[in-house]
Amino acid sequence: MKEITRSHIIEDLFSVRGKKVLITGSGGIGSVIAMAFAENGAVVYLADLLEEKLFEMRKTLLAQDIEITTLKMDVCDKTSVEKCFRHIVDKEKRLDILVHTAGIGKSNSATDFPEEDIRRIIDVNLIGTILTNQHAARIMEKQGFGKIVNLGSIGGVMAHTFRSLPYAASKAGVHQVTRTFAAEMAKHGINVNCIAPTWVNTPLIAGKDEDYYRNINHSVPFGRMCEPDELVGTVLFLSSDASNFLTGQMILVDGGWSATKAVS
Amino acid sequence: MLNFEGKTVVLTGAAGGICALAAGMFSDLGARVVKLDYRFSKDKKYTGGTIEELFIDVTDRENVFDVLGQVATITGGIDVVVNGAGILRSKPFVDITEEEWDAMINVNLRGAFFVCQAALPVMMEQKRGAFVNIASISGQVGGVMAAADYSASKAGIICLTKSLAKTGAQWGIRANSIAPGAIDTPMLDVYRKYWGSNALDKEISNCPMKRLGRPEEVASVIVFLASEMASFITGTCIDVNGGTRLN
Repeated sequence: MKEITRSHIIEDLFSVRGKKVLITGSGGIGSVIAMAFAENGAVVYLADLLEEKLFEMRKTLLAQDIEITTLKMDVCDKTSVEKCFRHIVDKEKRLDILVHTAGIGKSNSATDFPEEDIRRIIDVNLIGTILTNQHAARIMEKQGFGKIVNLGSIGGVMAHTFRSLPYAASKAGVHQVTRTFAAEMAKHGINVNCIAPTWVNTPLIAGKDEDYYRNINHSVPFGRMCEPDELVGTVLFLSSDASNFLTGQMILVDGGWSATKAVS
Repeated sequence: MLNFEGKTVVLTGAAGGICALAAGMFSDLGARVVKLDYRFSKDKKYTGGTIEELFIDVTDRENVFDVLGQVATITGGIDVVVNGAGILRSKPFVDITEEEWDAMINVNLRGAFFVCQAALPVMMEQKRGAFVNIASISGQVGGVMAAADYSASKAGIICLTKSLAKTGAQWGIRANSIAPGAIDTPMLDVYRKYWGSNALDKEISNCPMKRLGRPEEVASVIVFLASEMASFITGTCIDVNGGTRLN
């Protein structure tokens, strides 16, 4: 069982300084989160399948005098996943935080969605979450502490956008994976939570037509999409001692969108 | 994101427990803090100091508007409101009297409504602001040891907060609620008195973390929701219950 943190010192409660963090996925969300952890003094490992993306990220951060370690990881391949986690633990002797953002999406009608696309999306988004969470949980269980933050989505709660069947199903799965690990790992001092954003301004939803963005702006009470930077605060919160009595939660970061719907 | 320098934070129910702790945290982060409670002296008038304690009776609409009006006039604005004023009861459904029901709703729900109504126009003028309303796990499950009137009032807080969020969004005003589980504060004595000294044992065993929550573990969530860290979060309810309700 994780020791209770009785600090009232607010800066300490929210701090991630010196924490060993693994972020998976260096897309629009993962890269911003990796930068934020590094800027806040954490020891950052960033993993992605695509080495050229990692190279660019490392270069950008070095130019700002920020150093992170990048690792190639295929979240669908348990050998690749294991190799990355072992590398971190061998070097750092512990892993404090896993932020799992690796994911893909594709558009098609529910009836026409090709099977290979369905399987690929489920594999990356859902199985990938299970494999990374399993490896993190095994390490954290031995430590008696740890924080896991998964990237869910409002798409896993409602059919918020048409034509994304496997993405929606995979994200509903991510929420349940989060709750399952949270329930089983609580006694080992591990908090497992996820964030559920609505539309986030990343390459994943770039290049759509005007109507798409107009509908979003119209339906979100804040009148616009979320920027990746606006997820940083919630991820840092869920990674810190400020959220020690929260586990199994799906934090909606949606500008009020779900408050306009009949979702509990 | 955690800088509250120059911000005015108002908390009700701040004489003790979670909101007193949260008040201290906001103060540490540079806020000007106004602690409001029924238990504070009626004699004090607001002077705009860094941390002040004022009487409020949330069941008295005129008093609520008067107090918040004083604060807004002297400070020039209100940035954060935390609705923490509340009473708790344990009693069988059939035994709750009409007077008890009215008192519960008047303090826990109607009181928060008056505070929100008083603060909202100030925040609309500023085009910014954040509300954090304290609900309860009881408001989600119909109470475990809490009486039905308490639970209904807290369910009302969760819904009121969503209405407030939708109303305030176009002015950049956010509103969220927190649903704490069993938190180790003097309020739990209500349960111990009614159900016996072992009252909380079942709550603890039902909690995946196998313990009560600490008041600072809720206070830090209040600070999070009030801060720019949560700038795109509105209309939600965050459970702070150690995983209770997961299984």
